[in-house]
Amino acid sequence: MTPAQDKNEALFRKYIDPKKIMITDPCMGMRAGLAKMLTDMGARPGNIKLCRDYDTADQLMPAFKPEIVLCEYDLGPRCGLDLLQAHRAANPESKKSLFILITSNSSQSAVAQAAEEDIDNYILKPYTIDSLRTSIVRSALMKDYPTPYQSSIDEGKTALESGDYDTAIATFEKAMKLDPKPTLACFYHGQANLIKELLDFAQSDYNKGLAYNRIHYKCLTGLFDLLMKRSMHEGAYDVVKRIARYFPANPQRLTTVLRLAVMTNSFEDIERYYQIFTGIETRNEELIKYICAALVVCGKFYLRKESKSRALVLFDKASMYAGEKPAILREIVITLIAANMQKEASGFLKRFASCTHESPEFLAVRYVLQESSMPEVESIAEGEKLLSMGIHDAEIYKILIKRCLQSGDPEKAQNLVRAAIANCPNYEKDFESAMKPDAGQG
Amino acid sequence: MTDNDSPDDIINPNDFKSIDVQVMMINETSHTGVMKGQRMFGEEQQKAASAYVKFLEFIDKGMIIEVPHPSCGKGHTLCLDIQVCGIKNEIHFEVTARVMEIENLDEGRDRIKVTLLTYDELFWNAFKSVFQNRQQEVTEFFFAAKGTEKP
Repeated sequence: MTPAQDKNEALFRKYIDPKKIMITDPCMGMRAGLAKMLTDMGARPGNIKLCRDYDTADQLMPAFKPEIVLCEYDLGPRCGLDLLQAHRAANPESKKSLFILITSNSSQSAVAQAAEEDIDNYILKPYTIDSLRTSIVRSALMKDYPTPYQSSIDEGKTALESGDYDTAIATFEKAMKLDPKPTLACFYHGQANLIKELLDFAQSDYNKGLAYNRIHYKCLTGLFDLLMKRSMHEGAYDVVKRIARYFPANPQRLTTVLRLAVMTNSFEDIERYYQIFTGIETRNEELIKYICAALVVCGKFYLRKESKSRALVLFDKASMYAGEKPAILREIVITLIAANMQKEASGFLKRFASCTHESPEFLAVRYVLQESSMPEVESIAEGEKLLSMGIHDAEIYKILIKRCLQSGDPEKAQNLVRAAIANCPNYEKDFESAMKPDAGQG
Repeated sequence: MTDNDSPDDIINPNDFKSIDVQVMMINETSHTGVMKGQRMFGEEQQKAASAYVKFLEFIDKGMIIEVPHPSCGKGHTLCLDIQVCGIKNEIHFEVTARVMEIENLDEGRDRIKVTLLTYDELFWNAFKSVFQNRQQEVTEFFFAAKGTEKP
């Protein structure tokens, strides 16, 4: 051991002596090994609690209030990051504590998720005991003996939190001079400018931070939020693609990528996202919902471009994952009917899972698809029956308004428009245009 | 993960993969073994949930592993089949090792320290490098993303 390491170990021994420590790992050998190592490094055995799973640790957390947490990432159905949240909730002073993930999970998604949180270090198993000791000692000493740069940032953050924005800005400017790559100082400077509504300056701060460090999470998300706030969707889409590439685990972010792809008409990107999406084993419901919705929007775009076969391929892909999501299938069927593709629409109607055959979406589209072959009176009666069942689908209203006008009952049609606007306000213009003199002729 | 702007990188299935170490053990002294969820006693095989070997730590020319209790005694010779999956070029090799220390844990497990007797240095070093290199990548990324200094 070098003299510097000796000095660090001595400082760490002093640091760890009074500390309460929690070790959470499903592997007993790991818990025992870590406890032994910390005891050798100066921890008091009575101050160490060992937990085999999330629930045990979570229950212990509020009363024990650990100051050092060593934790596996994979804790059964929960993960180490959930434990970090429990730790933060249980202990207001938890930001001063040391939280280190020691884990077998080496996936980029897990590392990125941890980097988004206030985790102090991410150590992979299996390790050598020397490398582990060194990492823990250095992480602890950085926390206890921050550099002048880190101290300035902490000071600026305190000013920011207390609402003294000018002092905060001056402190972050001071911090910028203390580090050759002061990305974090740029970010907080940007935050202070953002609060002061100096949006151009804030944007410039985030970009400056990213020029020092292109993967800085806080600057990337800060810039994204700012561009969204300014409705600069093209720029926001570029930034969120970068975020999603470096920090892949967040399904919420992937849905944002899809949403912005739609908003910026980047339809070809959506088809590629779908290809990659099919290769992912762990898809959550929200991601599935968004990919299906994006495919439908993309299909509509190609229908407008008269590229029917391409649109049908996309609808087909969306319907494969839509399964028990009748809203997606409803949208496809309605879109195809509007494009005069009744035969194809009938095909998609058959894809509704049998468990959704009582759903408002299925009943509505079945009516929309079949009513054209019904006599006027029967069509109106069927439509009104669905409304009485509480199925207030805009397409049903549109048909009923049209049918009432055709049957020479404008008063009833007008009443329907009023009810339609009340129940489906987003389609107000459609309902009003259905009342125009030529609308009932078709 | 690459650094170009191709949409193909936005959702990369490889980002969700982790390195996995699978270890099978034959105790050459006692003619028992632990492999693929089974414990072997000579010719007899028994399925058991605890029949797995967990690789815990690298030590100088050896390792610390967790095994079912009882699987071995101090001084026993073990044959360990080690497979590293979830990387581009998977590593699969065998070593023989001697049991130096045994710590009996609760829950029917032992933590044992073994030193290598016969092994292919090339494979052993490649095995260690997989984790050292990935740790280095993780550390670089982790602290760059946070914007704080590496400890």
